[in-house]
Amino acid sequence: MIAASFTIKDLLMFLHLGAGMAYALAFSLHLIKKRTPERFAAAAGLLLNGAALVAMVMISGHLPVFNLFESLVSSAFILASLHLFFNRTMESLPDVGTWVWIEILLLFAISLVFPKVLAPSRYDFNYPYIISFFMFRVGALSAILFSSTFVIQARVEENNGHSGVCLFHQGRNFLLLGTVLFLASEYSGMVWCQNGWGDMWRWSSGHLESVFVFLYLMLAFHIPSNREKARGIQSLVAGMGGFVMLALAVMRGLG
Amino acid sequence: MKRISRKLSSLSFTGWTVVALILWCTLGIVIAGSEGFRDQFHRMNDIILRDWLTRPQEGASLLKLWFVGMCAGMIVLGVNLVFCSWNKFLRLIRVNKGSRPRYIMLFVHILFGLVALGHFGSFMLGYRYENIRLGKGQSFAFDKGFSIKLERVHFIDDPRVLRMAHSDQSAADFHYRSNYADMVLNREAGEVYRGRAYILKPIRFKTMQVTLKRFTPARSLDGGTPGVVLVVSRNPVLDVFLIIYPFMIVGIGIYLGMTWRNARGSVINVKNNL
Repeated sequence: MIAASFTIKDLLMFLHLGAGMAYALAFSLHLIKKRTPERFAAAAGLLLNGAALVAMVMISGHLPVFNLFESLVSSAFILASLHLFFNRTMESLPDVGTWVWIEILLLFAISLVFPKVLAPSRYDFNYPYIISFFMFRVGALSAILFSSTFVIQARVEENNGHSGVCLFHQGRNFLLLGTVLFLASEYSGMVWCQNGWGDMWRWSSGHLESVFVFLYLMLAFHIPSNREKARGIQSLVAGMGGFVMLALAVMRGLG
Repeated sequence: MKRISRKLSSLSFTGWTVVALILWCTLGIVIAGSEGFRDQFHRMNDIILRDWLTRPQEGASLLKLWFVGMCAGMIVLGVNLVFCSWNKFLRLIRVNKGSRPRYIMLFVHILFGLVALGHFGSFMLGYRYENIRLGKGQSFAFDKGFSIKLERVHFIDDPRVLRMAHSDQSAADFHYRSNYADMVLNREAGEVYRGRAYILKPIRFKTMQVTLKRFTPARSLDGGTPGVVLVVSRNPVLDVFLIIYPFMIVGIGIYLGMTWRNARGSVINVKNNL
C-alpha cells in the first residue's frame, strides 16, 4: 500500500511537470501564431493537469483545494479550461490568450518553487461548509485572474474603440463572477466559523485578509470612470485584482 | 445642503473611503501578525467586543484605536451608502424605464448595508464566553441565571487522538459525527433545554448557542471520560444575517446575468450603472 502510494506520488509529480511543460509549449506556439498545434498542446496540458488533480484526490482523499499547491494546480486547470472553451484567438498579439498563458505559467512557476505537498486529510474535510469555503475560494481566484486578462487586454486595445470596450465589459463580468464566488466562500466560512467556534467572525490575520480582498473588489467597482486618469486607475485596480488575490493566497499558504 | 448631499453620495467619496479602509485593514493585518500584538489580537475573540472595548483591563489601547478607526470608516461608508441609495432611488422613480438591473443593484446595496449592520451587531449585542472547560457532571453559570451542565460524553475513538495536533487528526483517527456531548441548559434551578452537541453541530436554544469546540483528554490516566471545551454565545441578529447574506450574493448574481451581454456603455462601475 505504501509502495503504491509512493508510485502515485511520483506519477503526480510527473503529471504536474508534464502539464506545466505542455502549457509552456502552448504559450510558445501561441507567440509564433501556430494556432492548431497550440490547441493540441493546450488540450494535452489540460489533460495532464486534470490527471494531476485526480491523482491528488486519490492520494489525499479530499478535493484538491485545501492548500497552496492544490489550489494553484486547480486554478491553472480552471483557467486553461476557461481559455480553451471561452476565448477566441486573435490575429494580432498580444491578445487575451497571451495573458492567460502567462497567468497559467505563473501559477505553475509558483507551484514549482514552493513545497509540492498535499494538505493532510483532516477529519473535518468532508464537512460541506469547509469544502465550499475552499472550493469557492479557488473558483474566485480563477475567475478574478481570468478577468484580469480581459482588463489588461482592454488597456492594450484602448484606442481600438469597440473592441476595447467589449473586452473591458468581459473583464467586468468575470470580476463580478469572481466576487460572487468569493462572497459564497465567505458565507460558507462564516457558517463554518459559527458552528465550530460559536461566532461567525474571528479576529485573525486570515479573516482580515478576507476583508482586504472584499474591500479591494469593492474599490474596483467604485472608481468613477468619467475621466481618463480615473479610467486608468480603474483598469489598474481591476487588472491587478487576480494578482493581489494570488499574492495573499501565497502568503497565507506559506504562513 | 444640496452640495453636501451630492458630495456625500458621490462615487469618488465611496472610492476614497474604501481606499482608507483598505489601508486601515492592512495596518490591522500587520498588527495581527506582529509578535507584540498577536496574542492580544486573538484575545479579541474571547469576549464580546462591547465588553472588550469598555473594560480598561482588556486589550491594548493601540488595538482599540485601530478597531474604533475601522468602525468609523465603516460608518462613513454607511453614510455614503444611505445618501447614494436615496439619490439613486429618487432618480429611478423619475426615470422608470428599462432599469431592472439598476433596481437589483440598489437592492444589493441596501442588503450590503444590512449585512454590515449585522456584522456590527454581532460585535456589540449578546454575549460570549470562550474556552469553558467542563468534565462530566460539571456546570458553568453565565448570563441571567443560566448555566450549562455536561451530563455525558460519548467518545468512540482512541483517547490518545486528543493529544495529537488538530491538523494531524485524520478521519480515521477521529469521527467527529459520532462523538458527542449531552448537555443540559438550566435557568435558576430548572431545566430549560437539553441537547446533544457535536463538533461543528452546536446546540441552539432561541438565540443562544452552545458550541462544542473540542474534546479534552481525560484527567485520569486510566482511561476516564474525556472532557469538553465549550463556547457559549448569543447573537440576536445571527439568523437575520445568515438569511440576508445569501440574498445579497444572489442579487449580485442576478445583476450579473442581466448585464452580461450589455457591452453598451460598458462601465465596470456598478454604482454608475444605478
